[in-house]
Amino acid sequence: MDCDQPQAFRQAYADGELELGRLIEFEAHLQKCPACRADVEKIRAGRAALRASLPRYAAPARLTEKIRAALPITAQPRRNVTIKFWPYLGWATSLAAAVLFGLFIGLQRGQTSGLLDEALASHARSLMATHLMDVVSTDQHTVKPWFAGKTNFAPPVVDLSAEGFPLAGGRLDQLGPQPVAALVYARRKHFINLFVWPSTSGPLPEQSAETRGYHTLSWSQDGLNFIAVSEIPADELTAFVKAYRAQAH
Amino acid sequence: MDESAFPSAVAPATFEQALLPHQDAAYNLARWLMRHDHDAEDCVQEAFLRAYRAFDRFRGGDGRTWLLAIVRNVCYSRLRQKRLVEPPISFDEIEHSSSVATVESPWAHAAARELLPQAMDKLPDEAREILVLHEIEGCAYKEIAAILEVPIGTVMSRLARARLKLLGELQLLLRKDLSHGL
Repeated sequence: MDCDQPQAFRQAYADGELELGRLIEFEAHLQKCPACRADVEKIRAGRAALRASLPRYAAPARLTEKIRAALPITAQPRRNVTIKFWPYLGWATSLAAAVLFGLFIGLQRGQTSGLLDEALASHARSLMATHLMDVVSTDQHTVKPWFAGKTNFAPPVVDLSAEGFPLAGGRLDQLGPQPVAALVYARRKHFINLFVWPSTSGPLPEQSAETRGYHTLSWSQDGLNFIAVSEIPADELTAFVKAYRAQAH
Repeated sequence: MDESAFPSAVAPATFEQALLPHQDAAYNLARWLMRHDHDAEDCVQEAFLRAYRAFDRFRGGDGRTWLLAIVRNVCYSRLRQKRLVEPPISFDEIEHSSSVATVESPWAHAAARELLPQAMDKLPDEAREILVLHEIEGCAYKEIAAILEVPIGTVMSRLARARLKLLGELQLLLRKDLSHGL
């Protein structure tokens, strides 16, 4: 039946743009259907050839100069306003603070963005039919002991079904060189991967990011690092993290 | 202190951060749409001026998406002025024969790469721009939907048809190329 999926659907799959439910269904079909697998491979190869061959025109240097030269002209209407120094001191201070803050975040982001990318890739991988869970259970008392013999730390496994995030299971995973515990929680038909590992190499800064429709949230507590990844809306993921942190503490 | 220095130093700072880094993206889109260096430069310059004047309406978020939408509008109004006699047919409305869906992959031929720019030239603007946004700029469907102001479903089907159309044009050029070579 999935062999009838139109080109646009197959291309969206190859582009990584299918929504999760249809992605899982189509992945399951691909496992069984060599013809569709070959077709998807053909689409990917064509896209790669296209990307490698299409030139990207860079803006000529004179254009940059023209733009810079042209912009202050449109700022002229403000010229006749009398400028007092003091009101701007506050502005200048907050601007400087904002720049410093940005630098700070930028530096931290440089360290953690690799991990966030890894977490995202792992989340996407885990949704491919069979890799999502090694231990499948909605019972925290089954999932928690399962990790006991496999990791040298105990990821807090809490029951969040009352908050609308039932536990689905867990698995062992890897982020970069780091072995991590992955807890899987469900939200409607979607899943949240929560990666947990000891913060021996330093705590993660609290930050959130969005990439291609996936949301990630990272934080540290009680000597453990956490990254939550899901395609559910950002506010729902925030609610999940809030509920998890409150109970895990 | 120069009286005018302060406000213009504060206001464009954010503009510079949000939009100036996307000059290459802006120029690339304009160059593909206008198919001419100087026309593309003019369009980008005008787009930056429009963006600057409208910057208080920029709600934060992705500066590239916001800027590319403006670039596109400028390019299309220029193109409309140029082609007063031939209103462009919407690419979405063009019927495609089912045989296009089974087009052979042209990439096995060494000449395909060289003929690619010519094949792009033969595409309708709407097909060319969506390929530029997705394959060169790497925009996600969601971003393209925001730039083109169409639903994501339209992005999905338009992109699929643009790719097939490009392959079709490439095949035609290859066939001509091969028969000339004989």
